[in-house]
Amino acid sequence: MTVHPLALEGVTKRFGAFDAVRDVSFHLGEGEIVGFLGPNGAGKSTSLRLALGIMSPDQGHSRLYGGPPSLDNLRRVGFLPEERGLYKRMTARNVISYFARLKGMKGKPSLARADELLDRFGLGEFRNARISKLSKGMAQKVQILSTFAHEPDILILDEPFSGLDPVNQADLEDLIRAEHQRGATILFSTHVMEHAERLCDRIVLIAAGRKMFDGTLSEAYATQDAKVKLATSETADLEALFAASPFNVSRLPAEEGDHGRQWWEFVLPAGASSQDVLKDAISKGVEIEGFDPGEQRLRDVFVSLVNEAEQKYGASRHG
Amino acid sequence: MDKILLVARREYFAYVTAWGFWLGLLFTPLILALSAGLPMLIEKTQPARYYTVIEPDTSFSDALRSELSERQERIAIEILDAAPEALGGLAPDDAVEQFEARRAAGDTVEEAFSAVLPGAARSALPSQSFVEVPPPARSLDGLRPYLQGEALVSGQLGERALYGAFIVLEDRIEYWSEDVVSNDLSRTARNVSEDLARQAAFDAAGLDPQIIEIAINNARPVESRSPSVADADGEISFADRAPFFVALALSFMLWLVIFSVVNYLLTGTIEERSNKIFDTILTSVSLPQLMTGKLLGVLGLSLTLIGVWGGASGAFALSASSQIPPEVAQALSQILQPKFLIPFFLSFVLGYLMYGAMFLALGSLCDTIQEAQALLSPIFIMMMLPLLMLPVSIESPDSPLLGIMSWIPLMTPFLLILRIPTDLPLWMTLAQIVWMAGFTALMIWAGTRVYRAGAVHGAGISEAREWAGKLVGLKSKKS
Repeated sequence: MTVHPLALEGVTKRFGAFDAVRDVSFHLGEGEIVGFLGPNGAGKSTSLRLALGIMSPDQGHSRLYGGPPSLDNLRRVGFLPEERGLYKRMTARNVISYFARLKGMKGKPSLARADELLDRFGLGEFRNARISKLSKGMAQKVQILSTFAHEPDILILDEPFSGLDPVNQADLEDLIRAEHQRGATILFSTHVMEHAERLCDRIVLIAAGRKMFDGTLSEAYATQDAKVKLATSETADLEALFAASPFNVSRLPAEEGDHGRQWWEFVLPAGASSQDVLKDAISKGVEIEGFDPGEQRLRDVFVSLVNEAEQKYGASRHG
Repeated sequence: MDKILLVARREYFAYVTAWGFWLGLLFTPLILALSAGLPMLIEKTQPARYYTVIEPDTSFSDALRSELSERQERIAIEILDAAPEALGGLAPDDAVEQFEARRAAGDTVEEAFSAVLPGAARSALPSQSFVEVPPPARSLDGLRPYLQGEALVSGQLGERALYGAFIVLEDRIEYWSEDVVSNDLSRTARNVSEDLARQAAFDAAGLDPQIIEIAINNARPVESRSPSVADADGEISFADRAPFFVALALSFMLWLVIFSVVNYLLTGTIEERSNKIFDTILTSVSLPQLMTGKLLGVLGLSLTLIGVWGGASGAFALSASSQIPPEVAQALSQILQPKFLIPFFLSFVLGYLMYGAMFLALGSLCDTIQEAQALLSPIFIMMMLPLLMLPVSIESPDSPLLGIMSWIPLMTPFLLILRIPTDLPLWMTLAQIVWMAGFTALMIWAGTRVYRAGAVHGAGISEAREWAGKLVGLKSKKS
């Protein structure tokens, strides 16, 4: 039997009559980067807290390397919670060292590691500054470094990009890739789909407390119909023109910036491509004023699955 | 254990490196000393005030003047009687005799005192609070501007406002003053008036006042003795009363130390909750380890407090050992007796843990100090009760009220020590310690549950109110 670094098995957690998480199961494979997606209030943070044993499930189990979460196997985990904070009177260096020591590092190596990380991420000159004196972004960086300092085997990052500017977001992406190359297994939650698309091997999506999807990005895209957009003059009527075609065509509502153009959406049947739409339109003599080949986006998958979950489970979640 | 020590170390250094801790450490004894010495200071710094008497003769003013200087004179004689070294070879009896001779010759108390004891500071004597001046007017209307500060009167201290005026009438003495609160001068005047009336009655009956004085001197003295004291005659000395004062001091110190430091547990936990640190830390240490570490860290802080205060007091006592009267030194040495030290130590540890668990739990429910204040009000009232019992322990150490209250667990740590000098049976001492330990264990159990609810599940003030409501509901159902 394969022992996964982290696994949730049929986990349910209720707060009174509210189902925070209902029968959620997923696992992390060794060395994977997994995106944990879901809208606000979907149950992501609760799932992560259950996975780490911070709170106990009402039903089901969480496993770390095959065993229940304990301080022994939690040493192998670095956790960045969604609600972040540090001891404000401690210095950046001491706070990184303190959390590394709580994870089992010795005093001097933990200080050396803190210095190394602070230098590497441009905070070397602030090593002896109190957290209260750092900017919010810098303090967040220090907390991220505290999570990585003891070189954990598993990194659980709850909304790690929130609150960071684009430059720091890019730095964090690099750091996650570096940790992945080192061999760490990584799970991070986000609702910024671009991060998941750039970083993840696999995604797990939960909504309304239920797992709605677990698979690779290609598998996620495959859950949705491919769509293409085409713009014509406002006088054209493509619905009539394409009535007999294999594409399902619909008129999109006018938006600011259309400059007198009308956009149409083509839903492609299996096997058809955006080029087929373009060729067909030209052959029918349509004057094309714009074209969007409609690359598949994780955002569409996300919106679709979240809406489905809300319709199915939204009402029953509150008991 | 390593993790507990790491948490404890962080807690300890977080506070011990803060200015606030050292300011509190230095200022608390200063403020206590100031509040203890304040009444004396107020009395000493109170400038002498002028009064005047309007009467047909001088009998009342003479008697009042004599009465007012008597206290100062009595203290001067006590100092002369007790300061043989400073007298430069002069025997105390001779010093007192010389002083009385100078007084009889018309010297003021200060003049006579300085003449007999040239090296003594005048501040050793309390200043005379009231000085008589001749009446600036012969009627109340004439005196009014002086009493109201609109005009000044001249006297041996220069020009000042008139503080009080007596108008001696046939059937009463009227006392006029702008000060409607203080009754020092009017009380003294009342005593003088009674003495004069008594003397007049004796004169009318043909009795020599000296006969009364002789009769009073011949009265048999009442001596306080106890079968329990060490003295063979059973006579009660300061040394016999010392344990009560020692118990009082230890109990107060315990109260002061515990409530000086448990506040750190409250604010530290509020900081962790409001800064969202719990989730980070709880994947590294267990909740009991976190609580234990915090309790140990702040315990270290309280030991620092005791160490610095105790060390400073010890150093002061050693440096001034030659000046400390032997009976006071003997009283101080009682602190080191096991009958005080052991209950003090156990009461300190158990009391600290009891209140520490409570404050940790409260802190875990609050995001701000303001929120905590709403929950703390009833606790502060409970905390003040042992303090109110301190005077009772001196006035009436066997008070049944003290005995009953010492069984209220939140007060036991402070009141047990107060009862030690009353020859509390050993079984009773042990029973109270066991009772205290049991309640402390209960508080730690309950505190851990509340702490978990606050730290892990985010329970807050509203949940605390719900729990309290349920508790009250449970009680009312039972009743």
